[in-house]
Amino acid sequence: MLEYLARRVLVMIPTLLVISALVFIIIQLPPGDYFTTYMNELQSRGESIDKAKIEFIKQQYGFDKSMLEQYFAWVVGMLHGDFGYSFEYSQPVSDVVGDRLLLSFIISFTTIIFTWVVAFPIGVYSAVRQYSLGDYSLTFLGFLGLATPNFLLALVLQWLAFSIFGTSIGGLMDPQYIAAGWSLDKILSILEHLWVPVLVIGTSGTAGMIRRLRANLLDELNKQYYVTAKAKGLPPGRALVKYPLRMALNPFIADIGNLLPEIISGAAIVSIVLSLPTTGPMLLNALQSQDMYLAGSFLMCLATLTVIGTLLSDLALAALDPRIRLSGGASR
Amino acid sequence: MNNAQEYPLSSLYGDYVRAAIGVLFFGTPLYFVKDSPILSTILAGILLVFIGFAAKVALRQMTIIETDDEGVIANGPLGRRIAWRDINKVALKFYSTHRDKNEGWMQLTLFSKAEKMTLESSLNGFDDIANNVVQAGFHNNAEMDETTMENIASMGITINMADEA
Repeated sequence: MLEYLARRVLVMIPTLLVISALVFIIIQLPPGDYFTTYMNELQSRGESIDKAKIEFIKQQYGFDKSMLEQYFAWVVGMLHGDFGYSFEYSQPVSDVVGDRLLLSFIISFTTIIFTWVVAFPIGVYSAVRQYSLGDYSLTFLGFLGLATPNFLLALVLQWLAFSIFGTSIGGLMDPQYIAAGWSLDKILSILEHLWVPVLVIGTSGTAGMIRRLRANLLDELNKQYYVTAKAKGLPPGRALVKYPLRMALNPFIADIGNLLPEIISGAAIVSIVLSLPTTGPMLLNALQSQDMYLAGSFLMCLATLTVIGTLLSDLALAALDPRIRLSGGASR
Repeated sequence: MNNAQEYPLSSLYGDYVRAAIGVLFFGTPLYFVKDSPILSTILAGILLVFIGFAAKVALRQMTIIETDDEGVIANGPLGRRIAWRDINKVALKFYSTHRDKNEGWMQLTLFSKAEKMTLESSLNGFDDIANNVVQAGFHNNAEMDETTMENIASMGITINMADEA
């Protein structure tokens, strides 16, 4: 397994290098830069611009250098833990992201747990009791979850939380805790607000996962080995858990790669609707204002998390199912 | 029968190069990272993986695998011997870094009550050794999971029923 891990990590290196180059090119593609946008904004408001100062700042941050030099400086900086400087916030990127990353992580992690805890038993039940009243009811709920736009559900739940529980509208905590340090009251306030975004973001994911697990498990349940296992007298529960459920889990595990980047992107539209202090809206702002280091670092984080997620799911799959494909060659 | 096999240098050199790239790529930034304990820990963890990988390749280079009438012997720094009659569990696994699993390598692990030995498919004569281990495993009623059985079938190994009779 160590050899597999080492070889798999090596594959990540060129992947990340190519992604970093693409990210850098994409954030450089729009005409102008942050300072050009900033100067245009000031001009449109009729405010004066100190061009010499702008030129000095541009020079300080290497905007006068070639794109290749800027790229290398950015990549080398990231490898040293320096993610650059946010021009919009006038702070290093790592300081700007700060607590937002933690709050995004809390929301995303709780959503992932919610999705799995709800989707798993429902998916198994729907497959095992196919075409029963329960299956039809849960399938209907699943389709409803898939079809309802998240922002609409967010607005409805926000109103319900306010009118029934008196929870303050928007945000992830009561206003008095926003600038305050961490305390038990602040954590309780976060927990009080947390269920709305978790339910909103988790609903569509849960519905999709129920459908996938149901379809995968139904495929396995119709295979001969399961029929044989039951015919030989294996108790149905054991026959289900030992073979078809394990096989049906493979797509679940393969999905880990897609879950990790959500920690950073954090369902941006829902976050804007619910005024959540997560990283999603910040990424959107950074892209709009061409705050290149903030946007670039965010995108690079997303890509790295996707690559790490894929690595984790590949490792789990290699441990769960180290089988040769019949058409494949076995030796190096 | 007495048969000595070793890992071919071509495959070992490839693995040494992989280990060196990994150590360089993750070790160099680790040297320069000053203020980020999280990043340092991640880089140090990955670096350890590559150091461990290099150590395993070196160990493989110094090991000669012998088979005789009694069993399998690994002659090297961590030498061990497993007799055919003592094999009580066999695991044959396949790993590939390709999504379609078109290319990869196999890992044969044989267990006795006290010892464990792992052989990689790059070993010269791996197919013959695997065949002998599987035959001995079946003879001893050794534990083999479903994946191992499928991989044995994929390698084209058939059980010699005449011997069993």
